[in-house]
Amino acid sequence: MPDFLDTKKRLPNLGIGLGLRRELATETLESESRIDWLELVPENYMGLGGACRERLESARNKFPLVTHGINLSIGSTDDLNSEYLSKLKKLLDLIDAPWFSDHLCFTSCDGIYMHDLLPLPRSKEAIKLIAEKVKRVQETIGRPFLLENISYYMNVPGCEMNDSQFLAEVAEKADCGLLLDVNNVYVNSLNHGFDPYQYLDQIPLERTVQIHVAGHKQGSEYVIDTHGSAVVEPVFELLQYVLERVEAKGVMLERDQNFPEFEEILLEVDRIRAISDAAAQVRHSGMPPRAASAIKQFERKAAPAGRKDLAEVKHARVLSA
Amino acid sequence: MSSLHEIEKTLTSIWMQRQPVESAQSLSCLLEADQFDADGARLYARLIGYGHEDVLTSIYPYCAQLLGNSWEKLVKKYVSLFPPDHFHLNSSARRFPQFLNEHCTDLLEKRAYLAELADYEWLEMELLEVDTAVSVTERTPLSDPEAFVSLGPVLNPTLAVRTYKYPIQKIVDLLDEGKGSRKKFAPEKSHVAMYRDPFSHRVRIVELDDNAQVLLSEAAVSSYGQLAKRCVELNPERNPQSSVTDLIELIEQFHEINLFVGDRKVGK
Ligand SMILES: [Fe+2]
Repeated sequence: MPDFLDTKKRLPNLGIGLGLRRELATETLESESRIDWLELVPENYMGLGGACRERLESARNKFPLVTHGINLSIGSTDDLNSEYLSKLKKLLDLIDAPWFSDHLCFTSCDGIYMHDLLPLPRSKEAIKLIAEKVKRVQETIGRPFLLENISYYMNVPGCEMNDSQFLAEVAEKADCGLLLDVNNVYVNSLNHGFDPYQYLDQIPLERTVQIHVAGHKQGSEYVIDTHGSAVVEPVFELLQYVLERVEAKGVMLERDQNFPEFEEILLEVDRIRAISDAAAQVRHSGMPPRAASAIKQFERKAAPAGRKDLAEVKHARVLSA
Repeated sequence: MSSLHEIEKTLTSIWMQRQPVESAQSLSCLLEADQFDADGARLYARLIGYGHEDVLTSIYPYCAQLLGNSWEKLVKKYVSLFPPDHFHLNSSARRFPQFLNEHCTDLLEKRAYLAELADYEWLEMELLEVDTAVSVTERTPLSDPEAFVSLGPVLNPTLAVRTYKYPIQKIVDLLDEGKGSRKKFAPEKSHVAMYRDPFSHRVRIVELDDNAQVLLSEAAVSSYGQLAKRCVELNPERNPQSSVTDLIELIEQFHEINLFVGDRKVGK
């Protein structure tokens, strides 16, 4: 059994969580009865004082916390940034996070940070590089590390395999965990024309430690992962499909902009909890999980999107605090 | 076959708009000219560009307000000359005042105060985030004569004082009122003290006159009594008693607004 699966067994089950966002912090911190844990973007707290520090302290007094980073830049040919790693380690030690995560992408090249999650050439060379870097990251930080599948809007040159093969090989060679974003799987399946269930069947789902659930928006060219609208049924269905097959140690809602009444967000958290509970029953009953064919068909819709739609994505991905 | 680094480097140059989309054709992994996803590359370039503009606009709202339509173009020029070099997003805006000073002489000819205004806006940002703990301690009333000579103020550790050639705070106040964007401002020396409030975590800004600036610059190493003596020296034409009364009022005010955060014992 790969080491990581052993590690996964020992991780606590955090339950259903929410991303800690500055705009929602007050309500979030008062909702311990409906939210079990919080995820935060470490770049918004690493080495920062003032209001950020105070928010972090309040959150850590009430909730288990994990981090979800932006700028580790694991797929970049640049070396790991030692300042970044040492600040991240300090933060993770402070909050005693059971695990931490970042994205399977690159955000910097030759020292230039683009502050966006950028798709990689899916090549053997990239897999080798990422596996080595992940190992060094886990050694330095000393906590289990997860990689998230990103949404992407471009066919990058130099690809030698499809998305699921790439994710599977990276996770296995690096022996790390997965942060599976079911909305990203869905958005990518629409934009790049593949079957999301087949995708899920092709990746090592058993490595999933954490799951992201989020909303997206139809743009003119692409469906965009905005984290700014309600979660759609097909995404909940993908969540159920995964959770009927494997246990995740934490499932959470990402909502980063276009905020509705907080109760609406809590209702989505409740819905995720209900799906998670029902799926756990299926897992424990020994009954076979539902087949993909039993699940409602997904379809691609197109609606016009202006410049604002695109700008929002940037907010959702990077500026969320 | 192109190496991973070659591909990342080429994409970065295109996405950062340092090279045209066509430059991707130099990649040997592209077998046919039409293989490169130019639309996708342009989409990412736009997304990244909006991201930079967002950050710059949120940190330099007054500069953005003053420059109006030319703001977007200026941000592009800034990013091309000073591409983000740090994992902290806001830090990508750090060198904007330097950029104005070194690369925008034409702009500074029209609005010479612009670089100082940018420095003011960046300083506010920096103090909001700086990882310095500020604690406020109890103090002894200045009415106690013993305390007056044996104690001095503890300055808020986030305090930064700037002396500008232009009346930056006045310009900011006018912009806040929706005025001043077309106004010309003559040089007029001004001092601004900025620090983070330990309770609200907001940045507070205080305008200082010449004497207050001198007193504040000496406050960290002086007793209240020494500051009073200095205040009298700085106002030779005034009645010493009134100078000291004014100073005590200023000290009380600085404590009240948490620019001073306690007392410290002064060694002989
Ligand atoms: Fe996600």
